[in-house]
Amino acid sequence: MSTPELAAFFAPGTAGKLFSLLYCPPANITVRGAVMYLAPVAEEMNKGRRMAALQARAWANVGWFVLQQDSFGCGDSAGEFADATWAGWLADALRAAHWLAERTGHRPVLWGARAGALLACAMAHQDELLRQVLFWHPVASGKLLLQQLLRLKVAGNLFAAEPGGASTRQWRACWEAGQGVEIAGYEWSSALALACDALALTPPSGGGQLAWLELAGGPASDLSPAAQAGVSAWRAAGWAVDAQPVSGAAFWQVVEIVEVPELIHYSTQMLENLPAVDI
Amino acid sequence: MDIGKAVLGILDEVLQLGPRAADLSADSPLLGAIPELDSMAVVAVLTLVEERFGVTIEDDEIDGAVFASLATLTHFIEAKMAA
Repeated sequence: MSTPELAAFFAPGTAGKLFSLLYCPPANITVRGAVMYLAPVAEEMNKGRRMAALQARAWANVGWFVLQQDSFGCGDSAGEFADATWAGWLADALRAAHWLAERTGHRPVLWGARAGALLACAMAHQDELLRQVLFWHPVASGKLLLQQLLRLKVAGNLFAAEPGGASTRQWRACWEAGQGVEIAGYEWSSALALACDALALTPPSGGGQLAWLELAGGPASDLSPAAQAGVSAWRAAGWAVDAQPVSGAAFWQVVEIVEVPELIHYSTQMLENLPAVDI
Repeated sequence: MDIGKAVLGILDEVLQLGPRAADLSADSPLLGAIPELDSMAVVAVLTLVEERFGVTIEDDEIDGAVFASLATLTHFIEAKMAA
């Protein structure tokens, strides 16, 4: 079997060099298009690395260029997480998407995993040419993302008999007062947290094509009520939505690094069903 | 949809109840009765509840009474969804 060619390089970003990986289809395979990965944030990004690499390889093998770029302050890119801003991440991601289109001749499909879906969504709002999107178990809103991160921080206090430790509300107040908050080794600045707090997975007007994959721990039957509501909202905004529940572990939060082959199977299939878009 | 059944599914997923899931009735005690249900497991349950049902839960809404039984937890989620 042929293997995709992998190019590793540093791309220019608004505030520093960004570590990038470009998976290229093998020479004997007809090119189908391009995909840009928008990773989850903080520890979920690390936990998701293996699945992201497996998926990128699977797509490259059937003709897709796949770009994975670490955001500023994340992974092997320049900068500290504490200095990252949402506006910077968005500007860098748009710049990378345009570079990928130039490089490959194809407008990239935006592949957003978890909180990366919020970034993909923001990119589609900014650029009406980026209208093919694929979500991996998207985070519904920035508020929910922050609440879940903060809850990990206060887990020990949840059932404390005596009110002692700080609550999520108190940590949120720190952000509102302009202070950073450290969560599991990541320093969330006030600016980044407040920007994230305002994010939602709102469909851009004008329509496009969206593939929505959701993981269920047990046998996958239906989409969750939350995902069903999301799918309906995107359809109402004129998007053609292909939604698929997948049976498998929440690989971005479990302790062990796990693989969910079914997710790769469906994702690969769903991308094949998208109409090709040249620039 | 059957919220009670979905809640049991989430508990099973987080706590790996296996055959014990079938023995749980609406009034079976949870907190204090299932050893695996510690604070981190509660966090995992709350996360899944938020993601599956599309609600946001503040930590001051959560106390031992919410996790007393399957019925109290289900009732809590129904109330959140109706809000």
